[in-house]
Amino acid sequence: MRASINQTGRRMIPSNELSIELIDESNVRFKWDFNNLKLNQGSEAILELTSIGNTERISIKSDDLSMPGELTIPLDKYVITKGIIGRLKVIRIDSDGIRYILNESKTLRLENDKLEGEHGKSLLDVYNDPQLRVPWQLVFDDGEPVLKVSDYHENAPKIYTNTVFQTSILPEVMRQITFWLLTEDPDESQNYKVSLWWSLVEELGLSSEDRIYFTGIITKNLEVINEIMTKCQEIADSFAVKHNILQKLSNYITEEEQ
Amino acid sequence: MSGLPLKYIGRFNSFGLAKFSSLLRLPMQEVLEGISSLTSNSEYFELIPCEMEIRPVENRLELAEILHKSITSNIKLKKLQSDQGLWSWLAAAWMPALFENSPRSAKIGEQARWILDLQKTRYYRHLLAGPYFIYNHHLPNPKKALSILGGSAIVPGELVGQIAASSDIAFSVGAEVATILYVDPKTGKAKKGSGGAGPGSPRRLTAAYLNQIDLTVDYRGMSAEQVLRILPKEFDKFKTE
Repeated sequence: MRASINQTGRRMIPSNELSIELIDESNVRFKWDFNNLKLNQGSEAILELTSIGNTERISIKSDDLSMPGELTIPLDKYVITKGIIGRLKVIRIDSDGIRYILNESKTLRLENDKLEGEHGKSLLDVYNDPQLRVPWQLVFDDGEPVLKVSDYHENAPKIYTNTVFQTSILPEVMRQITFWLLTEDPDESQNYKVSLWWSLVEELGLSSEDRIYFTGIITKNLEVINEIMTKCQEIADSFAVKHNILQKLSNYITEEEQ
Repeated sequence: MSGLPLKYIGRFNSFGLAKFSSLLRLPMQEVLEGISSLTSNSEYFELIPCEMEIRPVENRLELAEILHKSITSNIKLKKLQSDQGLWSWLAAAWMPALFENSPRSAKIGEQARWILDLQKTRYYRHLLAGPYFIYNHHLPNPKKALSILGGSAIVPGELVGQIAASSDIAFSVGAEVATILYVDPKTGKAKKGSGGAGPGSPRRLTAAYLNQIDLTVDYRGMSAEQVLRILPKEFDKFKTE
């Protein structure tokens, strides 16, 4: 059974117990139906909504959260209503005023973001991170892989257009994602993209026996890690072959020479 | 350059945005020479009646005040607060004023400074929309966010770069904490030493502290004084200066 308490001691609120969705361009609906959320008298629930140019904190009475319910939140103060994200936190306030987080949700994304289009919904989101000191880095935010790029290398911000950069890094990105899947066994129920990544990796040659074998070993020794790394390289190679990576690179160089 | 009172402002169409983008790739002198032909050629933009005075400004706060006054008093502009064509035209129109009496280090820089890029990690770099969004959020007391509104409008500086890059901090009490730590209340300018990366620096405040405790402490619900009380000792030198 997957642990529901993370390394910081916070208890995670299952993502299927709460949601945010756009009602129209002026209102968001927050819905909840908690199975096992215990709120003491001294605790307080805060819903934080964030979008570009705004952050809003909405205090919700503990009594209200004990029953399934919903709350309509007007967006008239928001500069941009695209891509609003949310986070519910249950707080305990100490006598010295420090607000400790007892429970929290994963990042909530608008379920029917009609304003957002496809932005942010790709399998692998790419962000420019000005603080990054390498051309690119794969991180795993909110239980899904996210590719960060920087201005550190002149081609890195051109991930969508620069053939050399794309072809150089994508097989390695695929290798790292496979390694993450096989070693971390991320929870598919918490993020639908995880299921899509598993499907892709299986399509590229990971058998269900291999998946069960690798993810089933709780304590992975060096020998198992080496086996996983070999498997990840095979998947990355399949990806490169399937997407004609070498051919694309070769064509690009030939065109450049002409 | 004295003040330039406008009776209308523009909103670049896609043709205008493409022209602006091409112009920004040229050397700075050519950009400055070519910009007025772009903001005066009505083929490139839609006209919106609006009163605004374009003039050299002391800092980002003063610029944001002017923008806020014009935009919030105009119903059409209020609806276009996130419009790329509007912000890009405004940036083009303000360019000569921003460069006037500017520090030597002033440069055209990356396109995101002039053409609004609505990616979460880039929008704050826009020289006009960046301070406007922060000012708008921190009303009625935007001076609490002087750490990210006090820098030069054309060369925002290291302090702005560090704090504004983290929207959780820039749009919360984090901005006020940074103001108390790093802005000299007498001059309204960044304190000496606040631009580095060493102990107690803004980089440490964001990456090594606030973004870390965010996992376990709801610091955004605390007052600036309460947050200051729990900061590690490395920040003490900025508390007392």
